[in-house]
Amino acid sequence: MHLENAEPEPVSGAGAVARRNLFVRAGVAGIAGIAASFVVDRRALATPIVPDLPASPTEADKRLLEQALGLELALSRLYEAALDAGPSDELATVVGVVAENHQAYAQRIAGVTGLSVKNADPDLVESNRSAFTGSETGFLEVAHQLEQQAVATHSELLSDYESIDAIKLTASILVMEARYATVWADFLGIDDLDTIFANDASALQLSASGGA
Amino acid sequence: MTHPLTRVTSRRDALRFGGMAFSLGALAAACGEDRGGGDAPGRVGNAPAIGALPNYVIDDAVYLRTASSVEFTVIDAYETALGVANAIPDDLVPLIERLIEDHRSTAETMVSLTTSAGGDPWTCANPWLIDRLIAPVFEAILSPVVGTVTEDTNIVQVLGEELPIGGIVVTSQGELVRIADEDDLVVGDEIGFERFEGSVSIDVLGFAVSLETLGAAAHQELVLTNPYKPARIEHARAAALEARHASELAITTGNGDNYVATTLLGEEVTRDERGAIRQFAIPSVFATVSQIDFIAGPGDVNGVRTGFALQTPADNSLIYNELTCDDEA
Repeated sequence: MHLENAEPEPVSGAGAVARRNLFVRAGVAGIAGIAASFVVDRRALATPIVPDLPASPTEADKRLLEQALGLELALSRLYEAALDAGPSDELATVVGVVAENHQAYAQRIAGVTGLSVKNADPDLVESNRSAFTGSETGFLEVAHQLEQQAVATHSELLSDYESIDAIKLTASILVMEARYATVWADFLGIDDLDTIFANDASALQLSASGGA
Repeated sequence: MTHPLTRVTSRRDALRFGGMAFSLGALAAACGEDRGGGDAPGRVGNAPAIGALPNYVIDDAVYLRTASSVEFTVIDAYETALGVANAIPDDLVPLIERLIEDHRSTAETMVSLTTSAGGDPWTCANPWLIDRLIAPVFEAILSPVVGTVTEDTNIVQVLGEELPIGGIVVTSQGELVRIADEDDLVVGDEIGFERFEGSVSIDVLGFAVSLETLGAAAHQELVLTNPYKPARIEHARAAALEARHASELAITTGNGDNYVATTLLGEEVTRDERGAIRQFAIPSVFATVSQIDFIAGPGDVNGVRTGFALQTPADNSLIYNELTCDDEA
């Protein structure tokens, strides 16, 4: 047995077990071709850049995050109201999870800022409550729109945040809200790919202290 | 009977013991405190001497080049999939073409930002991801099912079952069609079978969900790590878009019950009937940048399928400013 080989060499005779490949394994020539076309020298010791930002939210961040907290709590309250309105079983499962997730976002924002989880944006709740507790189609249309607006709102706030916590948390929230919008579009039966994938919504105008 | 340790030592014994003492003595001398010499570990064999590695800086241009490389990688994967027979059902081709279009648009944004940041744009796939992820996954997906002939040469072990050899072998998961009609089989011979109908497509579409999730996670990570502030919102937009892609694919390719991950409902992680990890439109509470696990290809003779780990770009897969993209296509 050669040291370079992991397997013993085959022996002849009664004890031999010669494994024969009796078919041709097809390769993926196209991908191999792509891999072969690169000229790359990857030997390197990387020196990463650590973001030169404060870890915890600054006072400016907290003022913005308070608005975001009000938004998330409002969405959670609205979804809870929709759940109380008795949607169909499959829809109810998803609504329940989305309600809990928005509550989790509010709690996480409270956790990093020290704010309390009690002030849902009242304008947002009142102006959308009737749609969330009305027909399923009406609820889905408004829910889809609000999730799109939430993504736009968080995206806009991102450019103003000064701390690592605020940026990381906001990114992890808005990505999920994009997914919720996609789910609601499917429940609505939307098959137009522009509606499913694009977001033309504007950021919401939120109140500073979660109240008027 | 005289105990070996108490009998008189013979000349042969003396030579043997003396040799052993010499060997032990040499060993003790080599390991003793006063042996001298360097502290570096010894080298054996014919490996070349290790030289100092170049020190590459990671700056905002590197992150943006890496971001565009991820986009071009996903495009290459989709274009490969579209070229594989029966991989993408006809009714999903428009969706895949739209995904390609979106990735091109995001790639163009990253290329433009790279230039703005003072870097040289990267306009092709990520070689690390192609070499370590895309190519192996496609190779697995397109591999046949392999069985081995047992000691009873009328029986083949395939997918964890021992079954009679025939043109069609009936397993608990379905029928396998033999690729060739071999004669004179002996124990240990390998026999190839076509994968189950639809398996290639299921794997390709599952890989698409995983790739979109990877793209979303990569951009989500770059929202924070890329110091180039104008890129922050664009990374967020790309992350959101690719998360939408992943959700739409999960819904479209599921059985109508792929909206919410079972773990969010207090249940365990579930696999489908062929052992693949199920994918969902809403996979978690918060979006994560952690490893994405994916299973592809047929099971081996014991029924075990190959697992792959998709990870966001890090040291080995970053596109450093010193690297070049030599696209000969």
